[in-house]
Amino acid sequence: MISAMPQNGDYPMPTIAPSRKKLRVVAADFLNSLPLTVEMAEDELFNFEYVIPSEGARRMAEHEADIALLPVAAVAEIGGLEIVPGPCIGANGRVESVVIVSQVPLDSVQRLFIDNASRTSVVLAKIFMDSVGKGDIPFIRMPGPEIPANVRGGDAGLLIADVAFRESKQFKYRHDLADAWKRLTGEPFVFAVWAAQPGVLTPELVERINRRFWDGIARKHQIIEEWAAQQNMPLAQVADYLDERIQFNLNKSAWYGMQEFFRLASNMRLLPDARVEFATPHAPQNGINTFGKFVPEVVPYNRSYGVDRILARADAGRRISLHDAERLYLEAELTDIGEVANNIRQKMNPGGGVSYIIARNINYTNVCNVDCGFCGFYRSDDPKRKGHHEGYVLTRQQLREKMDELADGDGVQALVQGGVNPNLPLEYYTSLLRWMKSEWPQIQQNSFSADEVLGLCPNKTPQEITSVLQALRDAGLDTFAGAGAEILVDRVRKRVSYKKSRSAVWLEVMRQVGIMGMKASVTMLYGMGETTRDKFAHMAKIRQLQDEVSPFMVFITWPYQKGPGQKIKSFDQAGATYLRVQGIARIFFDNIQHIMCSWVTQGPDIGQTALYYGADDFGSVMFEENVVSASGTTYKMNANSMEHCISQAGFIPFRRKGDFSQWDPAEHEMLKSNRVIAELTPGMI
Amino acid sequence: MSSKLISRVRSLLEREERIGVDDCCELFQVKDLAAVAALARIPRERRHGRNAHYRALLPIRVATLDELQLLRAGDQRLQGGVTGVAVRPVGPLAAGLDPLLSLQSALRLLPVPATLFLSAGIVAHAADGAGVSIQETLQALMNGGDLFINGDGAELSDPTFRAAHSAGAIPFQQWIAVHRAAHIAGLKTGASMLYTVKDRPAEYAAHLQAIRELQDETHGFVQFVPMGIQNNNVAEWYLAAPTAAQSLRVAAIARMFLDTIPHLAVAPSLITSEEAFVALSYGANMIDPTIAVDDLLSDEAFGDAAAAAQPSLPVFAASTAQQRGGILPALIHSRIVESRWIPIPMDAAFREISPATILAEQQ
Ligand code: SF4
Repeated sequence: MISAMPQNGDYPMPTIAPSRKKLRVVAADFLNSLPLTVEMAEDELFNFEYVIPSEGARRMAEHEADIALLPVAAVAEIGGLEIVPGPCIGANGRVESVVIVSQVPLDSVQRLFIDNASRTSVVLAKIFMDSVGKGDIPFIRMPGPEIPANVRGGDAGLLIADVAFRESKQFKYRHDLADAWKRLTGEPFVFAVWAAQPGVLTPELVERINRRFWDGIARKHQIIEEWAAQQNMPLAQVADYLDERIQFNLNKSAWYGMQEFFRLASNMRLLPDARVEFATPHAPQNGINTFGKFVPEVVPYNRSYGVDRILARADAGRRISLHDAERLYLEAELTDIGEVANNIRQKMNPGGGVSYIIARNINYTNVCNVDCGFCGFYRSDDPKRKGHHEGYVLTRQQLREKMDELADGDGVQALVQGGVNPNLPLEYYTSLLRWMKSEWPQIQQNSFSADEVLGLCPNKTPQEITSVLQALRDAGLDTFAGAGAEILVDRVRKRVSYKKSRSAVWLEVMRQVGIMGMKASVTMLYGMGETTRDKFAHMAKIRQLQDEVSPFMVFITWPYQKGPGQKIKSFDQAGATYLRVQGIARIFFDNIQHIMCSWVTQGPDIGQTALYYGADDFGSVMFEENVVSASGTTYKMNANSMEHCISQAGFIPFRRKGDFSQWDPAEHEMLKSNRVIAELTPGMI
Repeated sequence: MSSKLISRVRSLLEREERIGVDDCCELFQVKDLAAVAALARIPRERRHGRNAHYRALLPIRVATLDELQLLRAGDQRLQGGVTGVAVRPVGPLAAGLDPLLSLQSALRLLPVPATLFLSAGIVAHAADGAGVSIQETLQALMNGGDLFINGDGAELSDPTFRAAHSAGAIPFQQWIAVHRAAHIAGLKTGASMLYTVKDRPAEYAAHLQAIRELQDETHGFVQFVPMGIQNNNVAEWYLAAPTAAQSLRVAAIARMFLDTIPHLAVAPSLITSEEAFVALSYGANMIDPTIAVDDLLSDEAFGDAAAAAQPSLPVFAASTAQQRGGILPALIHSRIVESRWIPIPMDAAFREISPATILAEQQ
């Protein structure tokens, strides 16, 4: 794309020890990032790759990159990163690539369409809309290129990057958000910075990155020409953008601007409470300071708060970063986590009530072609594999017995879940749901995992996923159980469950669930040898999706327990670890209302203690459970024992429905009276 | 009321002053367990910092000397980091001074250090049977080998409770007398308290006060163990045993009140193994697998202990009140580490021992 043009100038490039492993560096290949990246990409010290910003953030979150050019929102979300002094992508006034457009004045705007591809811009838009008294209007997510066509009447749209360049002029009202920021705070707005994993940066490396940056700036006009030609854009517009609109220097005022952004975003609960500070550059020696000739005006560092401070700020309603969560896991006192988790739980679910539900698992088939290494439940559909002959699909008669048993116990929810059975078509599921709905109308369906849905989608496109989900919903699916998240880090997924959906695909299923307005539960199965970072990278992905489309009503976590015949070793088995993880989850998920404790895997004692660690739901009584019990876990509780456990802990037990609202016996009886009994033939599935 | 109580108790604990019987009573009624835990951490951490102790012992109960023959070197039961055995006699071996002395002779032949664990009741009955004083009985046993008088039989000091729940136990004053005599003889002993699914704050406070008074006099208690009582005479299993919330609260309050007893121990076999490690954050500083040895007797239960050496813990049958323990030192050690404490293994006499053996087992 941009041809090489090394320009080392008068000063020798700082050398870095040759034995050092190549640093993994990632950045987006946007026009405004090229002056920062074009020379880095050609430096033999770095293993450089251009990726989209979300992928860069993912790699930093999952420790798959050492340095990344990161949007500032991602810097805050991940936390604990160090910022390279010197370069940035910012704007000191009008930028033209982040614009809110509408055909009506702002005070008449009723909704704002946003493209979630740029979280920093969305947060900036929220801050701006709040500053003009429009903080309460709904923000509606849609693909960026579709926004301009949808902005009519009382709607406004957030346009970013090339869509903004191309389309914003057609709108009567345009609000350039960098310009608005400048007027709001008097400071430049910083969109992105080079961020590094803790401990990676050395003065030599910082100097080298700065040298590469200034060499890139020297190639700005080459970049402008080549970009204009490649993108078929007017040269003057590209030149104006890079020369006049973008500020590349992370100077003191840009730094203040970034700090102010973090402060406001944290106050508004939009971003974690990022602590990024700066120090004065090291004192010059012989006229040249630590960074040689390339003296940055400020030397930022991003140190975490102490654990007590993280907890205190979380207690005060601030969002915590991935790094904060990791630190709590490693360093915080268990009962301190519990105390803050309990306070947050009381704010999110006030009144001291703890819900439980009368539900049952119905494992309609154990045949599965996914072969997860941690699963003791499934039997392979491959006739050559051990245990194949134990595979089953329950008949309608067997299902009826289970549903009748549930109905007799005043059950309100069925969790129909099974393996990914390649022999069952979509019609099997829709007919099953219709039948269950008509025969037990009082019982809600909270069923199926993402992989069961994906098993019905040969191409796994978003459209296909939506159409399967829609068919299931039309047939009677009330909420989506959505199990199978395990750990949403592909390095872990590949090891424990090679054939299972990769994390992006799993998240895509949940994204479609959210877009459809359905609700789901979300889980984390830890203790399979993943790192601490992986646990919280998992949570960060869930929180981000919840910010986007809110599919999740409840989070549940438990450790994998190795049973006979299971290949994966188990780790992190202590009940104290369970409480720690669940407590941090309550603190971390400021956007998921409920936390369910897993007494099924932990036993009633730890289950009860979990109520002091953020859980507001005790889960379900147990009629039957075949999945975790395949690992040897055999706890059982009935409604009386649950109520006893809950009230002994000082909470008020109440029975709920699938949507977490209080169970109403009169409504239950009324629904029951609509029962239509179907005729079954023997062996019918 | 509870916030005033908590700030009063906090300031007392921070000044290293004692909490009173009334405070103790009131603390049992505080719903906010996190606040109670935070208070208990003040004395717990002042005394022990981040240390969490455990006795690296295999608890066994023997009714005949023949049973000891089974415990040879290479016996699977001596693996998993076991550095000694805690032997509790039952039946004929517990019925008199002579059988106890002959048991001690047999213990000397075992391939690992063995300590005779006796309750105050057994000592009192042995003294009675031999027609000698408690002091003489204790002296004879001390001469016979390693001896520990555990806290069994303390129950609750309240006479009505004892009549209803512990009719077979010696009277509380006699229990106190045996421990007093042991302390005078230079023996360190354990104390305990029963608690039930139905909270009895006033009875708990009175009992703890009696223990504290003896400790003030003799300084001989080295350990206090709260013991949740199992009541199998109720129709619903979940009403049989106290819940975790009660167990954690009792441990925390006992830690605050018993300011002069060094170790606040919890028994994995009484409150489930995992809850025991959680209790380290609620005032307890010690995991003691020697407590409630009765639950560890059968081969079946011991099978669970062997399973406990594996990464996952044995599963307790929570559908009944019965919660069996059986947790080996190597697993205790690794669980303490996982729970963010520093494991300190100890022998039967509460002396710190090197974790090397235990860690080797852990490999
Ligand atoms: S966990 Fe689910 S997808 Fe994986 S093998 Fe078991 S049944 Fe199949």
